[in-house]
Parts: sequence; structure tokens; C-alpha cells
Amino acid sequence: MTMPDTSLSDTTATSRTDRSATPLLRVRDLSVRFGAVTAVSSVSFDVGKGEVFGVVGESGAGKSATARAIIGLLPPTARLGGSVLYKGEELVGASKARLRKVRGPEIGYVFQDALTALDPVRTIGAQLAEVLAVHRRMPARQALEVAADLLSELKINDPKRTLNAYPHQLSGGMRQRAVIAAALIADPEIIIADEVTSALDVTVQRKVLDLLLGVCSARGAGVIMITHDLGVVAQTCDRVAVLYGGIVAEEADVIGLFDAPRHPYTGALLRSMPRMGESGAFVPIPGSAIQVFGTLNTCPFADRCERAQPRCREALPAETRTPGGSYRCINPLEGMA
Amino acid sequence: MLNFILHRAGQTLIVLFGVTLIIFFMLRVMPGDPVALMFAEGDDEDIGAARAEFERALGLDRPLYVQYFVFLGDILRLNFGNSIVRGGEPVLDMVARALPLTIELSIYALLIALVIAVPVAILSALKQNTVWDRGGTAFALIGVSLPSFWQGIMLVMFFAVWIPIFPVSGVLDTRLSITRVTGAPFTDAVLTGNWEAAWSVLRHMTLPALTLGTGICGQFVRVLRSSLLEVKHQDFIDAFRARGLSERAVVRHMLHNAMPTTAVIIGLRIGALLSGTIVIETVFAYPGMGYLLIQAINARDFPVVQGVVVLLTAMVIAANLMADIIHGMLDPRVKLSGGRGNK
Repeated sequence: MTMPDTSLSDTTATSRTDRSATPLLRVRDLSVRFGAVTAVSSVSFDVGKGEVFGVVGESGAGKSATARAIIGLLPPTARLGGSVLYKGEELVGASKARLRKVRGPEIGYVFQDALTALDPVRTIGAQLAEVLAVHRRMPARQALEVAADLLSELKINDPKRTLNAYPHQLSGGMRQRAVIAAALIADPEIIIADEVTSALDVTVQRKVLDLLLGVCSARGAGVIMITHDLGVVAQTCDRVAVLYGGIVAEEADVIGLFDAPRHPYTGALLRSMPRMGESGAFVPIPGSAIQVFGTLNTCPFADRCERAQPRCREALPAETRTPGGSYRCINPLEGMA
Repeated sequence: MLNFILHRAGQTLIVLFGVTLIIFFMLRVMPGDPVALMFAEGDDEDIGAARAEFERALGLDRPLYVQYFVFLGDILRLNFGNSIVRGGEPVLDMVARALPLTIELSIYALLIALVIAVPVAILSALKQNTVWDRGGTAFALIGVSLPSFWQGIMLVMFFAVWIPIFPVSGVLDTRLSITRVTGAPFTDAVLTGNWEAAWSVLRHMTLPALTLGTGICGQFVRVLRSSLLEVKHQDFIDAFRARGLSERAVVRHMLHNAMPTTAVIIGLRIGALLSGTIVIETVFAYPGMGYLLIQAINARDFPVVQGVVVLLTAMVIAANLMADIIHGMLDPRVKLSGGRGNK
């Protein structure tokens, strides 16, 4: 946990600590635009091998756009900028053929809504085996065995029956496990979990999360946990990036973030959520999430921030490094530390 | 499943009953009657007695409702009667001669429609809102809106008269003959290895099939395009891409998902196809069911018209039933069941 960062290109990086010499995935200054709308202005983070990295934010903060940009899964109208390095290889602007080889065996993607993320007219088995047929040229019978093993690893009692079932015949939790299996079956090194539990009943959320993380850590795969739920972050993540208005407002290890948030947005988020042992009303964040058009040249949170100063609206605050991460604020919170 | 079939059989009986009622009384209300046409009224001789005898022999002198119930009883015993005009030939024999021709023509038309419609619809849906899409949609609109009788005549003018690549009418060059096996000319020619005759039949069928095909082709394009578009924006399509599937494989899965809906539409269009043959076969003097029907109507050959209409109706209903069953097979979410409510 204390090896020095080898990043040279990043001018703001000082003596940053990192988990490994070369992170598995390095996102730098990633931007995504759809015409005039800027979904992501500038997002940077690293994910190490076996690490669980949280990306948290309100809807519209650019979480899903960031996640999809990593594997190039955006509509052709999207304009990408910045850099996504996977094991040192640039994925932004990579050829379609190369991206196809990355998707699945290198980076797996777990979709949010398990009902719509599975093909309704084919069995679970056919869909899982297909992934292995594409990437490993594995014959169907053998692929189905691998799939059955993976399903039992995901605590599905009767994998053979599940493989023969169609998505509509399964319960929500089962379907979500099938979707997780589809993302994991080609043994990726990173899993992007896009709001995996949001569509599930609260009773099964925790179970599905535990299964996902259990299987990932058994395989040493890193996880990018995309969620709007700080509870999920607290339970599962090692480090976390708080996204707002298409920028990383704050990045920190989970304990640091919950104990001593630096960015006022993080602080406001924490205050708006129920915490154990506290009573009284939660404090909602005034106003609603921002939509960015064109180039972002102000702090996106300024309009809703109680600590805002005139300077906040003059330029996008630069990244300030902290021992455990970074934040973008010129008037950060200090008190809680 | 059994419940479904029984339920549908019940509906079928009701429809068929309605059709017998309509066709029977329509024919009687229509001006002109068969006996008058045969006797060419106004001749010098007094034919009153002969005429009355003829009418009695055909049962046309009895009250209408009696005639209807006799007809209904015959139909229920699958007795479709004999032609009044053509020397009393049994209607079923005439149908047996004409039906295979119409079936072959319809299948050919269906194939032409699919061969054109599938690529056009895929191109249109994948390149939505581009020139390709507009072209495809315009093509579909033209296909749907062209009146088939006019299109048939135009095709004859272009490809049979000006550039004579296809024959004008009929089924087979007169110098050729086909040994009868099933009654369907192309199938028989192929079965007996008579390639020259098979080629001739194919050439004869091409213009009518093309005319029929373009009409339904337009509908297929529209249906397939819209169901592809519906599938295209589903999450699981992106999920395929996220698993590293090639664009080709993704399109294949899109088609698989769009197929059930399209199959149903094809089944429902079988009715349109058959009614299309009535016009087209007349334009091309192709001796199928449509040709038979029009000739029988002109001669007021009541039993033939009634028999052909009832049989055509039964075929359309059967095709719709098939479409539903195929839909159930293609889409695992559909459960065939009878009665109201759950589908």
C-alpha cells in the first residue's frame, strides 16, 4: 500500500501513494461529450489489481458514462477525450477489434438491470457459453460445464436447471447472478459493476454484493463499483471517487472519506444519509444535480454549496493532493478530521 | 396448448359459419343468375318449361333459407357439390387442380418478399435516420401503396412485351408437359427431373410472384424494421457488446429477437397474399384459386364460388393459427392458452 506512484505525465501528482507500481487501470482526464452536453468533464483515477474501487454520485454525475467510456461502449455520437490505460495500453481510440478482445476476458461489465441485460429469447446457458465460444473458441458442452461451475460458485443451487432456463423464468436475484456470471465467465481482471444492486430487493442486495465480491477476490479481479448508494460504498469499497457534474470531486480511501470528507459535496452527501447511532433529520442538499454544457469552467457544485465563494465560479478548481487521494475545492472542509 | 387449440377451433367454426352466410346471400343478391346466363334469355323459343326443370334439378326453385340449410348441411359433411356450369365437375376436383398452383405462387411470392425485405429492414434499422433508412422506408411505402393490378400490367408491359424475358401468362410453355405427382407444377417438374419444364414454370411464375411479393414485402420491411429498432435499444444488446461479441453476432441476436413478431405478421399477411392472388392470377391468366374464383363468379357458378371462398377462409384461419403456434415456439415468454385474460 505504500509503493510510489510512477506517474510522470500527471503534473499535479506529487508524492502520491498507490497500491501497485503500475495500476491495472489508469483513467486520466477522461471526458465524454454528447453534442453540447458534457457528461464527463475530467475524471481521473487508478484501479489496482484486486482492489474494490467505488465510483459514487447522483444520477447525471457521469458515473455510467465513465464506466462505459472505459470499454468504449458509448453510442457513436459520443466524443471521448483523455486516456484510459489498461495494463499500459491505451483504450481510448483503440480499434473496435481490439476493444472486443478487451471486453469480456480483460474487463467485464455487469449491467444494472438484470431483466433487460439478458436476451429474453435464449437460455442462460446459451448466453454464457457464447462468451466462451467467442473468446476461447470453447465447444458448447465444455463451456456449459464452466458456466455451471461458475453458477454454483455464485451459490445457485441447481446450476444445470438454471442454464436451461430463460431469463423470465428466474427470480430477480437469480437473474442478477446470471448477469454477473456473464461478466465473469471469461475471467476478466477488472469487473465494472454498474449499479448492480439498485434494481434488487433490499433483502437480496447484500447477498448479491457479497457473492460478486467473493468471486472477484477469489480470482484476484479488481472491481469498479458504480453506485449512488454510500451504504454500498461503505460496505464494499477500498477506495472511492465521488463524482459530481462530470468531475471527481473527491477521491479518498473509504475510511478517510467517511471520517474526514474534504469536498463540501462529499460532506453534504454524508449528512443527507442516515448513519448508525445518530438521530434527527437528514439534511438534504439544496437544488438539483447540474447538467454541464460545453466546457466546465467553474466548480460544478458552486450553486448548491454553502461554502461557495466568488472565486469558485471563476475556474474549475485544480486537483489538490492529499495523502490518501485528492479533492477539487478551494475552500475545503477541515473540521471533521 | 390443447386448451389453446380447442379455443381456436371454436372461433374458427364461428368465422366459417359467418362466411358461409355472407357468401351465400351475397351471391343470391347479386344481379344475374346462373340459369338465366345459360339459357340466354330472349331467344325465340319458349324455354320456360326447360328452365323451370333445370332450376328444380339444381334446387334453385326452393326457398332461399332452405337452399342455405341444404348448403350448410353439405358443407358440414364436407360435400362441396358440383359445378353448375362445367358439366357438373365436382368442386373439390376443380379446387384440387387450382390450389397447388396458388400455393406454389404464394410461396414464391413470400420468398421474393423475404429476400428483399430482410436486408432492406436490417439496413434501415441499423442505419436509422440516414439516407439508407429513408430509402428503405420509401421503398416499403411504395411497395405497400402500388396497386397490384396496375403493377402487374406494368411488369407485363416492361418484361414480357418490351423486353420479352418473361412469358405473359399461363403456367407452362405449351410444347412442354409435366407428369402429375402432387399437382403443383414446379414441385412435380423437379420431382420428375424435368428441368426444362421446371425452368419454364419458374419463369411463368416470376412476374405474378414479383407483383404479389412487392406488396407484402413493403409490410415486412416496416414490421421487421420497427421490431429491430425496438430491440436495438435494449440493454442486452449493449450487454452483448460488453461481452465482446462481434457486431455480426449482435445483429444476429437482434434478428432472433425480432423474429417472433415478424412471423406473426407474415402469418396474418397470408390472408392478404391469398386475396392478392385473386387479382394477380386474373391479370396473368394463371389458373389458380383466384382465377377459378373470378371465372366462377362471372358464370354465377354458385357451388364453385361458395366452395372456393369457404376453403380459402379455412386456409387463412389455419395460417393465422400456425403463426400463433410459431410465435409461441420462437418466443419462450409466450404461453399459448385458451380463454380470456392470460396470454
